[in-house]
Amino acid sequence: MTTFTDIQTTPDVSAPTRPSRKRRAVLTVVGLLNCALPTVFTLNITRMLLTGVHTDHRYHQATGQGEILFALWLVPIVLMLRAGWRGRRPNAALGLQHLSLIGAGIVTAAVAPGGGAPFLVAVISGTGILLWAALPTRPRLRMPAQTDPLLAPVALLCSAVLIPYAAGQLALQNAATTGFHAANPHFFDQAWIAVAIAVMALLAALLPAARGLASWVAGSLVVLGSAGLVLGESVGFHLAFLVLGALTVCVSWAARRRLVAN
Amino acid sequence: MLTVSRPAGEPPGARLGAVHGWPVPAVVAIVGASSALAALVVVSVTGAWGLPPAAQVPVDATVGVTFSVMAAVVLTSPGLRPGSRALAWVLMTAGACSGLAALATAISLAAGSASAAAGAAVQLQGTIWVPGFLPLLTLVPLLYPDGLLPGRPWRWAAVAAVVGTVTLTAAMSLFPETFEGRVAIAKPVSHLLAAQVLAAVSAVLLVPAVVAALAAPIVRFRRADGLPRRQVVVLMGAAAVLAAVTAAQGVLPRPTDVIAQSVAAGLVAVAIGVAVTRHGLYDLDTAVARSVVAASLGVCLAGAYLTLFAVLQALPRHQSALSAALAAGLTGAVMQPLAKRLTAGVDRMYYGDRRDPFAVTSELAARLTSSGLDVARVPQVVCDTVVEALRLTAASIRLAGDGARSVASAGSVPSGRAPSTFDLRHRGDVVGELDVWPRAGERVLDQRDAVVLRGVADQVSPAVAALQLHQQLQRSREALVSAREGERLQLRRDLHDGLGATLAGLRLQVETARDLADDPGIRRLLDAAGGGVAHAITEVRTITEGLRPAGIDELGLGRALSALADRVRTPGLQVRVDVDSDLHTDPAVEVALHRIAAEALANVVRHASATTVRLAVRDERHLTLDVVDDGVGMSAAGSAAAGSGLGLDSMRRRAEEVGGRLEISSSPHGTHVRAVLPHSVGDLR
Repeated sequence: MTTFTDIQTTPDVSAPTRPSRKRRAVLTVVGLLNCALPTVFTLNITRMLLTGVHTDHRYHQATGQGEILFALWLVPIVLMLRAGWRGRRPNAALGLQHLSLIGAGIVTAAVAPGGGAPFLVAVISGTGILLWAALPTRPRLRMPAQTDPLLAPVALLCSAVLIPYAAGQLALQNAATTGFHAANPHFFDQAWIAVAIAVMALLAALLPAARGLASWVAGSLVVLGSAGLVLGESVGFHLAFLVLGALTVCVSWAARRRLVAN
Repeated sequence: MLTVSRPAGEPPGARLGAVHGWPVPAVVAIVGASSALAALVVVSVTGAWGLPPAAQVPVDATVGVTFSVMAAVVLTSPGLRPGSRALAWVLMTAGACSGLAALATAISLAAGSASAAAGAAVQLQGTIWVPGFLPLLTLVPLLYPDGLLPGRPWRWAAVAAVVGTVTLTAAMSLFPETFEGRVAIAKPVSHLLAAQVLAAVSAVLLVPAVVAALAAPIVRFRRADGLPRRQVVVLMGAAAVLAAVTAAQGVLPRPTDVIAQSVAAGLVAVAIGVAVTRHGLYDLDTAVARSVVAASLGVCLAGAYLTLFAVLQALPRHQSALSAALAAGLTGAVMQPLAKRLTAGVDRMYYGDRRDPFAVTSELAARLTSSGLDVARVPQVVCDTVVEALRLTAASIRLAGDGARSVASAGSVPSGRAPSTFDLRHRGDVVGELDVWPRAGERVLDQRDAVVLRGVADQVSPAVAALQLHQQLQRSREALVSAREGERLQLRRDLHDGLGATLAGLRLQVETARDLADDPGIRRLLDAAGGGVAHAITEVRTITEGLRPAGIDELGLGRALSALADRVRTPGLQVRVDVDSDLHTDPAVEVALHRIAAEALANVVRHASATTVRLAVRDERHLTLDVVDDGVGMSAAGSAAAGSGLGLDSMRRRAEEVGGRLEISSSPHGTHVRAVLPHSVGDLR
C-alpha cells in the first residue's frame, strides 16, 4: 500500500478555476454597486446608534432600519462575491438568504409603498440581479427537500409570530402618511426583516442545504426580541421573539450535533 | 406491630418487612395513595376548592398517588438491583408524605372551627410537605437511576440533603403560621426563634446539596453511554416538562395551571418507574419517535394555521370568519403530506436511511468509486457507510478463511450482544461475512434494516472477493519474492565462494606459468589465457553484484547503506546517516530496503535540488526507512524532471513485494520518503 500526502503530481479536477481578469473586473464593479448602499447605511446607522442621534428611533436603528437588516443584506453579498472571486460556487444557503431578503422586500414594498420603499427595493433587486449574472458559478437552487422534524415546528411558530408583527408594522407604515415615518419608512423596514426571517426559517426547515439559515434566524430573533424588550417596545411580541430565538438556537444546535454524530 | 410470617423452609431474614402478611411497600403505598385520594374527596365534598390553599391539594395528591404506586411497582419488580431499591424507598417516602400532606391540607380546609384535630392537621400540613417535596430535588437526582451516587465526593451532598431535610422539617414544624381555610387556624406548636435558626442551618446544607443534586444527572449523562444515558435522558425530559409547566404558573389560567402541574409531576414518577424497570428501555425509541412526530405535527399545524390566518387577515376587505375557515381548510389540506414528511424526518433522525435503501446503496457506490480508492479499503468503506447511513451501533467484515479476525470495523461493538451476520456471496462461494449490531434500544435487527443490509452485502460481495484474491495474490508474490531472494543469496555465495575462487586461483596459476615460460609464443598464449580468466572473473563479479546489492553480504546492511550515502555525498549536498546498528531481517527485505534507499537518494540527487538529506533506519516492531530532504518537493521536481514517475513505482513495488508499504509526503520545502517493512516477508499484516 502506498500513501501519498500533499503531492500534486496530477492536476486536481475538483479545484476551483481561477476567474479571468475580465470576470474579476466585472465582479469588482458589481460588488461596489451591491455593497455601496448597505455599507453606507451600516456606517451611518451605527454612528447614529452609538452617538445617540434620534434616540427615540434606537429600536429601529438596532433592528429593521439598521443592524439586523444590514447583516441579512450585506453578509451574503460579500460572501458570494468572495466565492465568485475565487472561482468557487457560493453556498446555496447564501443564495437563498439573498433571495429571501429581496423577495420579502418586494412583497412588503408592494403592501406599503410609502416612504420610497419601492425605489429602495428596486435598487436592491437590480443590483442583486447584476451580482447573480456576474458570478462565474451561481448558487445551486434546485435541491431535494427534506423536512427537519424539529426545525419545521419552530419555523412555523416563528412565522406565526413574525407575520402578524409584519402585518402590524405595514399597517402602521400605511397609516403614517405624514410625519417622520412618512419619509423614513422604519415600519416598512421592520416588516421587511420580519418577513425575510420567516421565509429563511421555513427554508431552513425544508431544505437540507439551507439548514445553516437557522443560525441567522436565531440570531436575528434574539437581537430583535432583546432590543424590543430593552427599548420598551411591545412585550408580547418581543418576548415571543426572544423565546423563539432561544428555541431555534437549541434546535439548530441539536441538528448540528446529530449531523456530527452521524 | 410488625408480624413476620415466614413460610416453611424460608431462611431467616429472607422476607423482612411484612405487616399482617402484606409486604411493607404495599402498605406504605396504600397509605400514601389512599391519603391522597381521601384528600381529593374531602375537598370536593366540603366544597373547599375555591379557597386559595386548595390549589396545592391536587399536586400533592398526584405526587402521593403516582410516586407511592410507582415506588411499589419498582420494589416488587423481579431482578431489581439493591441500589434501585434505595431509590424506590426515597420515592415511596416522598409519595407517602405528599399524600399525608394533601390529606392534612384538605382537613384543614374543611375544618369549621379551630379544634384540636384541625390544629393537628394544620401542624401536620405545615411540616410534612418538606419530606414529601425536598427528596425530589435532592436524593432522587443523586440516586437515579441505579441507586448509586455518581462518585465518592457526592456523599457529602447526600448527607447534607438528608440532614437538611430533617432540619427544615423541624424548622417548618415550629414556624408560626396561620392557615387560611374556612376559618383561620394557627399552628398549636410554634417557636419563631428556633424555627429561624433551624431554617438557617437547613439553608446552608440544602442549597449546595440541591445544586449538586441537579448537577448529578448532567454528570451521569456526560459520563454514561448506552442504557444509563438513556435512563438519564428519560428523567431529564420529564423534569424539563415539569420545569416548563412550573415556569408557566401565573401565565396559565386557573384551573389549567393546577392540572398541568399535577400531570407534569405525575409524569416524572412514571418516567422514573419506566426507566428503572423496563430492561434495556427497548422500544423506547419507537415511543419517543411517535411522540416527536405527534408533537411536531401538532405544533406545525398550529403554526401553519396561525400564519395563514394572519396573512389572510392582513388582506384588504378581510373577514375574520372567512379567514379562519380558509386558514383551517388550507391547514387541513397539508396535514397528511406534512405528517408523512415529518414521519420520514423523524425516521431518518433515528434510523437513518432505512426507508430509502437506494440512498444507502447510492452512497456506498459513490464512496467505492471515489478516485484512488484502494481495494484494501473497501471493507472499511462498507462498515463506515452502513453505520452512518443506518445509525447502527457497529459493523465489521470478516473474510472467509480468516476466522474471527475482522479486516474492518466501524462504531463501538457493544459487549455481550451477538451480531446479525450477512454472508457475502460471490459466484456461489461465501467470500466473507458482514456483522452488524442493532441500535441501542433494539433487541434485534429490524426487518427493514435486514433488507437494506442484504442489498448492501450483495453489492459489495464482488469487491470483497476481489480483495480476497488480491490478498492471496499478495501472499503468493511475497512467497515468490522470498524464495527468489533466498535463491539469489545462495547463488551469489556459490558463485563468489566457489566458481569465483576457482577462477581466481586459475588466473594466478596461468600468470605464474607465463612468468616461468621462456618461449615467447607460449608466453603469448598464457597471456591470452590469463586475460580470458580475468574476463571470466569480472563477469562472475558482475553477475554476483547483479544478484544482490554490493556490500550487503560483505559489509552488512547498515554499512552498505552508509556506503550508499557516501556515494551521493558532495560539497553541495550533506548526507546524514542514522542507522540502527543491529538490523535483523530476511534477505528479501534487506534487498528491498537497500534498493528503496538507493532509489530515494538518487531522486534527491537528480531532482530535489536539496542541500541536506537524512537517511535513517529504525529496527523496532518493523523496519522503518526514512529519507528526508530539504529540496523543492515533488511537484516542482516532477514538472522539471525529464523522468516519468521519479522511480516511485519501483519503490512502491519493492515495498509491497515484501509485504511492506511506502509513504511519501512532499511540500515545496522538501520530501519525506518512508518505507515500513516487516522483518520477515509478509509479517506486516
